[in-house]
Amino acid sequence: MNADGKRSVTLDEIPFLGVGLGFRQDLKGAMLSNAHRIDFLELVTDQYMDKPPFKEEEAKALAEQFPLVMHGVDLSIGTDGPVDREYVGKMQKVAAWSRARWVSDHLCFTRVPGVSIGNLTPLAFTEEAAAVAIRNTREVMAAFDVPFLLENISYYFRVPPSRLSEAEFIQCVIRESGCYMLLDLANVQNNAINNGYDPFAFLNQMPLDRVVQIHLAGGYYHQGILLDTHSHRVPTDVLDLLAHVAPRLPNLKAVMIERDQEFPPIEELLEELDQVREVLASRWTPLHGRPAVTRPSGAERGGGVPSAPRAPAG
Amino acid sequence: MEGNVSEISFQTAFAKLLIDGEARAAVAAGSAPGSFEISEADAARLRAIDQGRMGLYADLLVMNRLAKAVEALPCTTKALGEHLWPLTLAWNHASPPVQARKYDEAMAFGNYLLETIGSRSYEPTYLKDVLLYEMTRLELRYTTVHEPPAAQAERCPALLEELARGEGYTRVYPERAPHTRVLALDHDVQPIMEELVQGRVPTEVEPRLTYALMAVDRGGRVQPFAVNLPTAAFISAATGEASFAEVLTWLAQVFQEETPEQIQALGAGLAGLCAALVEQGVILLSDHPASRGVEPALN
Ligand SMILES: [Fe+2]
Repeated sequence: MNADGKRSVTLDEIPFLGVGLGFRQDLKGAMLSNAHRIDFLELVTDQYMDKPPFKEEEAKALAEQFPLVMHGVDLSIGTDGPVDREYVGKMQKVAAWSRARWVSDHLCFTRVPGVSIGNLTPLAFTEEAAAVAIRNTREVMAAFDVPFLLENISYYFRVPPSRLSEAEFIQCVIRESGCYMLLDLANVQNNAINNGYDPFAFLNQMPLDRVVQIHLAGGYYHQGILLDTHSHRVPTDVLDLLAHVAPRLPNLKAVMIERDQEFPPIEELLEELDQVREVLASRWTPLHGRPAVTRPSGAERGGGVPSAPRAPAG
Repeated sequence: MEGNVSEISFQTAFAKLLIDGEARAAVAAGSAPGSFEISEADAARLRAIDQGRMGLYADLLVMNRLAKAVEALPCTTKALGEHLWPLTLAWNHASPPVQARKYDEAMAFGNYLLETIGSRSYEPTYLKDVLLYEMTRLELRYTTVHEPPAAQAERCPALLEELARGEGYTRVYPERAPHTRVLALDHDVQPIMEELVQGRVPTEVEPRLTYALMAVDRGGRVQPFAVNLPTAAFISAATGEASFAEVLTWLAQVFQEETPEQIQALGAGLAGLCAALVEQGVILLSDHPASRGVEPALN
């Protein structure tokens, strides 16, 4: 049940979405004309808030052609203060008219009153910071009748006095709040390289039964740091992590590639999607027996459409 | 809900440090940041962060801000060339981020540029025109509400007939439709922007006074139309606050039409223009400004 006493959509009711892409304006035409090769789209929630008229029209048109999930970047779940209910209200509206299967944001902070950092900024890995994130996540979850996911971010430095490891921190917030996880494997790889740990050992400590969606992306090195720029192909290292972890994710519904810059011809992205399907084919039960370049049928996609999210928790 | 006091104070200091290089340097050196207060405990935590990595991250934040401006104002930022990065740093310093939305950030950058360009002469000379054009396009895309007042749209044909007969001048109120703007520019920006979109920065562009009527459709596409001075002047005067007669009087002064015959001819011409603009959806007519609580002046 959510805060309004309305029954929440369970994971079992949400169809398997497949292998998709993050929607980007620059790729709109190419995505629409290759809809049969893209299983679902992820839209950036913030771009549809306050309803710029053309974005609303766009999202409605996309919802006719693709299953959609919404992914926000400025909820700032880790800010130690009240949840921004106005922002959550806008998330709810976007999720309703896009018929989002789930909504997600990041385990980080992006703003404090009066200052917008404008990027996903790490929290201190402490019990106190985890308690803030858990409290805020529970409130946000209660505002939706679709699942809410939190994503692990890329970060370039630890915030003192981080007494927990990153894995312990994430595990604690996901388990204690009861939310689901959006596991970004590119972020795992970036952090492993930039902060010196073993990505496979890290994955073993993740709450794998809570993972619903995976992000894949490629970045580049700058001054010896691997940047999370979503500007390059998904590297082999990240696909290796996918092959390692996918068989152990009982609730995985969707895998997608994030590409935000240096857009290649659409055919290259579609080939990358096929490559991801190949990696998954022998390891991920829903893809067993599927040809590499199909998407779920209309009937499957039509099932389990959640009803409109409810008003924020009081 | 009650927050943990120490964590929000730390997060606030951390956020302020990330967007302020001088404060970052001061705290790293063990001094007070100057621009805000910080506890010794928070300062110690911030000093314990890898300063090199934090500096790199702070640079990324500025680049993120710039990326939003480049996406929303592509021709302006291309035309700025080598001025772009120094201006971005100056803007970031003068106007720290308070909103993450692309629209807000791009308009903030655009307004900063307008002030800066206004106070100095920047090359290329058409920069201000391209900037005005792109800011107007952005505003139209993000803020236009497309639903025209139904009652207004329904009344238009009858009111146009009155104007065509030379009647109703004092009670017909023309108003520019919300999805349109008129710009007066010192250059014809269309060919300039076509070059900029291709990555080429035109030089040696001759000034040419132009009037651009811009209209956005429901898909967010903004179409520019070159219009002549009388059309631009009429649309600009059509605020919905002045009657057709008042607009006519103002335009007669602008165009120095003084005799009754001249004014009558101008009125007939404007009525024809008005009909064409109503047909194109650029102008809406109402027969009383009741929605604004203003009684029409009667002759
Ligand atoms: Fe991601």
